[in-house]
Amino acid sequence: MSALLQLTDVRRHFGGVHAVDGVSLEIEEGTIFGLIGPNGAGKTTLVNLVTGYIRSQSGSIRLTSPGGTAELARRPPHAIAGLGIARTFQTLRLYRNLTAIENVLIGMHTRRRDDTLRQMLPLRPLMRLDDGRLEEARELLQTVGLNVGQHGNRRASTLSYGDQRRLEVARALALKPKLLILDEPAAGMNPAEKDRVRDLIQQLNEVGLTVLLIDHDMRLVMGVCKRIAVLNFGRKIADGSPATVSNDPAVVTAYLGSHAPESASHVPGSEEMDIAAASKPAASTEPASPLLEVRDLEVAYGAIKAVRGVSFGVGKGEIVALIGANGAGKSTILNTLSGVLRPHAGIARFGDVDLTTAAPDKIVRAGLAQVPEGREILARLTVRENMELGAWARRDRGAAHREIDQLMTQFPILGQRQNLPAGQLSGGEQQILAIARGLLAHPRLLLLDEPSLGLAPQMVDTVFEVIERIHTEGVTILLVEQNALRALEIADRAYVVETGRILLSGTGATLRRNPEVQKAYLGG
Amino acid sequence: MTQQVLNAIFIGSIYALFAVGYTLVFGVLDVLNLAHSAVFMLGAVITYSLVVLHGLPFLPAAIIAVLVCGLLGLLIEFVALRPLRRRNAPPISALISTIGLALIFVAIVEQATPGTLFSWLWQDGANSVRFPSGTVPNPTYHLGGLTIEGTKLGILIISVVLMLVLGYVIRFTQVGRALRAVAENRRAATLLGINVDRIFASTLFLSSALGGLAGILFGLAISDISPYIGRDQVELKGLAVIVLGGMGSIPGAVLGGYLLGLIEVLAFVRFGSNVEAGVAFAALFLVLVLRPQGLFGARLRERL
Amino acid sequence: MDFFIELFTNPVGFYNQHELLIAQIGINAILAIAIFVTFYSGQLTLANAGFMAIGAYTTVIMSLYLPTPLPVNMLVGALLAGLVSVIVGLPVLRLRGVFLAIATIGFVEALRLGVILNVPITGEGQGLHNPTADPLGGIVPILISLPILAYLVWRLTKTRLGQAWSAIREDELAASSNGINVPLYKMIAFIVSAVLAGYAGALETHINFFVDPTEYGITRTIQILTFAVVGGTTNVFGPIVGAVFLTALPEIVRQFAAYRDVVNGVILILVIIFRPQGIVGRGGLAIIRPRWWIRWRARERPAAAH
Repeated sequence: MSALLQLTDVRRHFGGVHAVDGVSLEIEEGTIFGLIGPNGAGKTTLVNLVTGYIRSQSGSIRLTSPGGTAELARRPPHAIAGLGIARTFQTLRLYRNLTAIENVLIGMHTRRRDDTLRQMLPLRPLMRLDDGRLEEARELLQTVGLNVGQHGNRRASTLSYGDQRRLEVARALALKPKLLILDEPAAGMNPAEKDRVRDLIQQLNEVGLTVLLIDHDMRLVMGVCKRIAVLNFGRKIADGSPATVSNDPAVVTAYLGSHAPESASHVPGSEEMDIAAASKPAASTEPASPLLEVRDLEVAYGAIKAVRGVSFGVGKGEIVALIGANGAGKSTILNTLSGVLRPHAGIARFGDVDLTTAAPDKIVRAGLAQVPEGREILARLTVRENMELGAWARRDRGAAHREIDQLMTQFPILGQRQNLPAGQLSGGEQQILAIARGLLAHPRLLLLDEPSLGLAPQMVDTVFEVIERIHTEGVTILLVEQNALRALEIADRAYVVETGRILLSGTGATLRRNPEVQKAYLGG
Repeated sequence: MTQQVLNAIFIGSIYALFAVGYTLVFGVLDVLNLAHSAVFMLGAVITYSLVVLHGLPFLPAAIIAVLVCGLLGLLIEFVALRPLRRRNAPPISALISTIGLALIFVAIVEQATPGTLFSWLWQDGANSVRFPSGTVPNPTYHLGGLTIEGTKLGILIISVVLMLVLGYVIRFTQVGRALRAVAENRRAATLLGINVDRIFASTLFLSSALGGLAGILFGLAISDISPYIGRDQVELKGLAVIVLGGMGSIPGAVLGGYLLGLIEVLAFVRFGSNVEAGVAFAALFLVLVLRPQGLFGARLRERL
Repeated sequence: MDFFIELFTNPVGFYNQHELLIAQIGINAILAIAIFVTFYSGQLTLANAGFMAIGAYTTVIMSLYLPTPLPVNMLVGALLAGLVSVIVGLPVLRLRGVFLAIATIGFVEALRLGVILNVPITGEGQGLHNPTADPLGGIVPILISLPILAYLVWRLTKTRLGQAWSAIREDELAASSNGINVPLYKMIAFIVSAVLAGYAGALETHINFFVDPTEYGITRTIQILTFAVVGGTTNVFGPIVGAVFLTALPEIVRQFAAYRDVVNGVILILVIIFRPQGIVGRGGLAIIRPRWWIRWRARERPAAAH
């Protein structure tokens, strides 16, 4: 089998960050190739380099076809599409106000070489040409599993989330591509929907289509790909069959961090698992009079039902963790608690504040502060200014100043860099700043959203030490983490969240020893 | 020549003051408030009205006018901007709704002649007037061959003081930090407990007050008050300034204002008055094409 | 209201009485079509007044100094506008959103203040006197051109080019991934729009005796923008409807004629907030869709309601 796509030492950096740091790989024609790695590893950047949205700074990207070999680097995206590479987008980019059929018809653009001027006159022969294309568009919709009669003439934005993802694939297929790149096609889907995506990919591959698949879902990727490359911090750390890759110690470390429990000798989730069927929810020890009470919460983004009836509680002085895969709805829950999102059903009560209706600033003043995902540091303000804003909601400015000084001694990094723009701190330092900033609001409950995201393993250790420290000082914490094992190590109680529902709950220790959780922890 | 440079500094101060208001709103709200030039005009018109039609002394009239302009800023926020935010409208919509308000403001003054609905505000319709001489004391100083008018000196001093005060507030007070936080990352600001709506309203108030003040100073310095001074004199120049300095950057607006004043004067000296106006736009054009982020602006990039 | 009564009971008389108004409506409609083309491709370009000026001045200058027949002059004017649009467009079309709007406004004003007011042949501040103006005869080419141009642009939106424009408008990045050469197609839209605007400018000089440089500034451009916003930009008829409505409005509501701009401003704000899709919303002439209509249609097709 010959190589269809060949990357050789591709590099791209942004300022000091090496997003893609010398990656080489080969995709064989007719195979399904997987690309995985932790968040921020450079996967989407690599895809953008291949498809021409970002220019590579060195290295070559070669596409081989019967007609010859073409160098893709430094070509514009439409030219690369013209050469036969189609893609879907991580963030889903449909033509939202056009109908499903129209979306697919536009996908055919490169194959429609007809004369625009002739098209301006509605003559018979041209109508037949159009009919042929309409027919093909309908077939494509059917191929991806969309009901043409029901969905064909509906605006793309009115389709359900799963159907929208499918439509994007149909539109990409309309190009009649040699290589189809799927960037997180199953994001935000439940297991049943993901299975359908898997079936579709296999179906397309059976007729000879080469597919490059990027996704967080280990089960999906391992189950469908012939070969997988693993990226971490912009470099390729493994490349081989699913079995090889999932047993590679470097890969295991990248996903689990340095505290991988001894029993995990492979990337969890790489075998078949069925957590819902195999386990019963452990007797949940809900707190008697919770500081935070959530019942039957339902939150949706347009067509996407992100949270489907979630109930849990957090008692004073506890650390409670919400763990689960990327896109399970955990951050959505936190954002709803902070008042940034509104649920369409359910209760969320914090003391006597109704979180579902109170204004966000009122919620912070009531003592519920969030350290958001990705830290959301105010990069152009100095470290000190960031901390001063942390005390925005408080009345006692004098005390706040003293506390800032205290925190600076407690976390020397902050003290040393206090007059630097916060954007110049490393990821881990920013995380500490974000936590300190959150503390300055004197919260009764601190929400931590993915504190270990994108951090190197040592920094993750530091951050978790900090979390434990502030907990012993009496702060109640609700922690959302993809890094399930670390979270379970420090949590008093935890809930496992998957596709918007709570699947399991129990104490941190119980869940950590639960073999299903160990297997099912999805490393993405 | 040096006399001309002095003129450049005076007019530059007015441009800078106007542009600071413009860029403040753009930086914090991500919106280009095209009603700003109309408020500029109303600052001058209201002051004129209070002095000439209603007999107030200049200083109280000016203060009242500035406050009214601030309130007009709130009007802009509540009528033209907030409803669009609530509907998640695209940014272009705010552009259009502020254009609508500007149309209304200008038309009201344009139509105001004796006997009409708004004759209490203005009676000169589309004509241009000036403050009667003696409205403000205007001693002339002579310094080493240069003639310096008192009013122009006063304008320079007021502008500089204001910009320094604003700079201080933004850099060293908690409110200023909150403003910068909202400008940088609205979501993070919300999570810190900052009431973003209130910040928007305050920004519009402050920005419009500054714009109105710039109009008053313009009316004094250039002796030209008409319904069109916003549109003809500063609207596009204000755009040129903030593009030059970088949209969203206050130091950029200040620098850009003086820079434009200088460029205009140099063009005038070299080419004569007709080209002077076109020069501002040529500069605007060039900056947008060569360096869209201006001197101090941040690069814009879209996430894939 | 007598306006409408007259229109329907005595169309011929109405026509004769309001010829200039009808001519102006026609020209505004063509301008509206011009801005529609760029809007349809997702570009907020506000340069139409500038291209109008090029068309207008070229036509009149040629009439004054060259023996060429009028139609030729007008054609040259329109094509010259197209040519200039290439020069302007190359650097400018890379910009997006607000920056594009500002750059195109900058072009218009630079043209007006820098060129028109300074080059003697344009008569500078005084404008030009147009010897070949024929106010009554001038209406005929307008009434003929308008439907033809509207039809052509309408068909254009249905072609592969038009679909590419739609794609660009909806999502430029996705459009690239579908093989659409975004910079090229944007430029084409810009050129078509400029040629149309130039043509409209040339037509306008034909009904005026005078070419006035103040006509071609920002106010004009904003006026054209309001046609598009109020009329709606989903299909070509939207801006045309907007142009007809807004140009005729001061005539219909005589007593408010003096406050025309206030009314325009109010309409603009109301439309952009409460009915951003304009009068001609999606799918035809939907002036107001009362809630019961929407609910009724949803009930008819339960599958469609999600």
